[in-house]
Parts: sequence; structure tokens; C-alpha cells
Amino acid sequence: MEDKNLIQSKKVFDTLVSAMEELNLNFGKDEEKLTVHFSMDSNDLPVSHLFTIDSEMLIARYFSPLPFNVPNENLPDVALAVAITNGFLKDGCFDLDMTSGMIIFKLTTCFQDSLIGKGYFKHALMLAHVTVDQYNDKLQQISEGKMSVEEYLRTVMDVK
Amino acid sequence: MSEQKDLTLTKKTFERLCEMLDEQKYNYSPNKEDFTLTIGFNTKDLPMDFYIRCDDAIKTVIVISKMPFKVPEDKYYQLAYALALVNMSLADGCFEFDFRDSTVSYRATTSYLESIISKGALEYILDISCAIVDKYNDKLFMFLNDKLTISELMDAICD
Repeated sequence: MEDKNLIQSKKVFDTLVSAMEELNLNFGKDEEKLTVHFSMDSNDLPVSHLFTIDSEMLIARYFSPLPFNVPNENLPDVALAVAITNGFLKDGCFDLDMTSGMIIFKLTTCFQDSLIGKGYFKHALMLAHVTVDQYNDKLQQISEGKMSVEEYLRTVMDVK
Repeated sequence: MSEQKDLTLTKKTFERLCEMLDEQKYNYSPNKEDFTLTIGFNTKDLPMDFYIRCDDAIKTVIVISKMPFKVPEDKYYQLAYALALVNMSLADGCFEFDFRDSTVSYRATTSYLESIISKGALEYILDISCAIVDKYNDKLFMFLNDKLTISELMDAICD
């Protein structure tokens, strides 16, 4: 007999897939791992999107890894910029892997005993894409030593 | 003619949140006008205060806990390093830094946009927030005061 959590997770996954189909997105999916992935162009850097349905914790997770790794010498500045940026966000956050220098935007919602609509996934995608698009190029500039944390703050405060 | 916002979903989510807290026999202070509440917990180390808001604009339950200490400017980079390590390990939520008042907060969210969110999901978001804040608030404080080394912080993360 299939696990109750897995049954619910598969329903949530089906809702996710339907939402992506309604958006006419060209996406890949893994029905065993319950993941959906695709890329979208933006004003500057391309944005990669990955949704996963966690059938153990009953959480829908979204990840977008930024397309660059931060070199060691600029990790401190990027770490500070990321910590401050997260303070501006209402939902989601940027994670910085201090070992690899990778930055990932993540967004989660719990669906334990809950009904999640297609609208949530469409909203999550839009919110994530807008947030990543807003910050990815500026974080890249700090990563490359082309922008200081102070300049970054001035730039993002102007945009907010 | 002014447009009235339909707050039904937010109101119902907030009511469900309060019901869950009542069932758990928690003491909390609700504000039914703006769908927010505060709830505090005493622990072995630092006290934990939570502010929970059902944000109608984005249809999201937002749980925030501000740490009971400020970060001196000469510790900003040290803090950022610690937050990067801790955040990468979290199953949910994140710690964030507000440079305007030099404070650190934990934030976790769960959406109710076009969704019906259960008391179980609301209980989960509060439980995990409590567990994470309880685990890290004192360690961040000790790390910033040089009473915990980076490898001790990393050991704590791995526990």
C-alpha cells in the first residue's frame, strides 16, 4: 500500500506539472524524483529553475542556482551582500555555499495535510524569477570584484 | 467607488493559525485587525520571540524571530560567514541581517495562495522555527563574542 505522504506528494507534483504546462513552458520532469527543471532568459543572466517535491518532509522546494561561482577572495563581500539581501526579501532567500562559492535562491512551502493550487506554483515561479533577476547580476559584480558592498547597497536600495 | 479587498482567505488562515495555537495551549497576543500575532518562549539560553503575520498581499504566512542582540560593525563579516554556513544547512527558513539596525532575524514562510493550508502545516512552520532559533541563537551570539570558534559552530551545524 503506497505511503500516504507519497500519494499526497504525487498529487502536488501533478499540480506543479499542470501549472507549468499552463504557462507553456518547455520543461523537463522526473516523475520518480518528483522534480521539474527548466531555464528562462532574463534581462541579463539566464535563470535556471528547479522545483522538487519532498515527500518525506512534505515541502515543495524551489531552487535557482546562479550561473557563476564566487572566487575565494571575494567570498566575504558576497557573504555580507547575501546576508543583507535576505533581509530585504519577504519570501525566499539566497544561500551561499562557502566551499564551492555557489549562490542558490530557494523558496519553500509546506503542504502537510494541505491543498496546494496551481496558482501557488505560478506565483512562486514569478516571484523567484523576478527576485533572482533583480539581484543576480549585482551579486556577480561583487563576486568579480567590480562592485563593493557599499555600492551594492546603494544600487539595491535605489531599485527597491 | 472604493474597491474592498477580499480578505476571506487571509482571515480564515489566521483563524486556523489561532485555533492551532489554542489547541496547543500556547499563550499568544493576536491582532485580528492586521492578522498578526506575537508569541514568546523561554528557553535554557536566550529567550525566543516570534512575530507571525498572514500577509494578504502575497498570501503567505511569515514567521519572524529577531535575535535579542545587536551586531557591532566590526563583526559584520564574521556574522555573514556564520549565516552563510548556517543557512546552507537549514531545511527551511533562513537567517537574515538588517544592517539598518544591526540585527539578525530568522524568517520562515509558507504560502496559502490559492491553497488551503492545514493546522498541521502551520504547526510545522512554528515548530521548525522554534527548533532552529533555539539551536542557533545562542551559538550566533557566542560566535560573535568570540566564545565559540568557527569549527565549534560547524560542529553544531552538523549535530
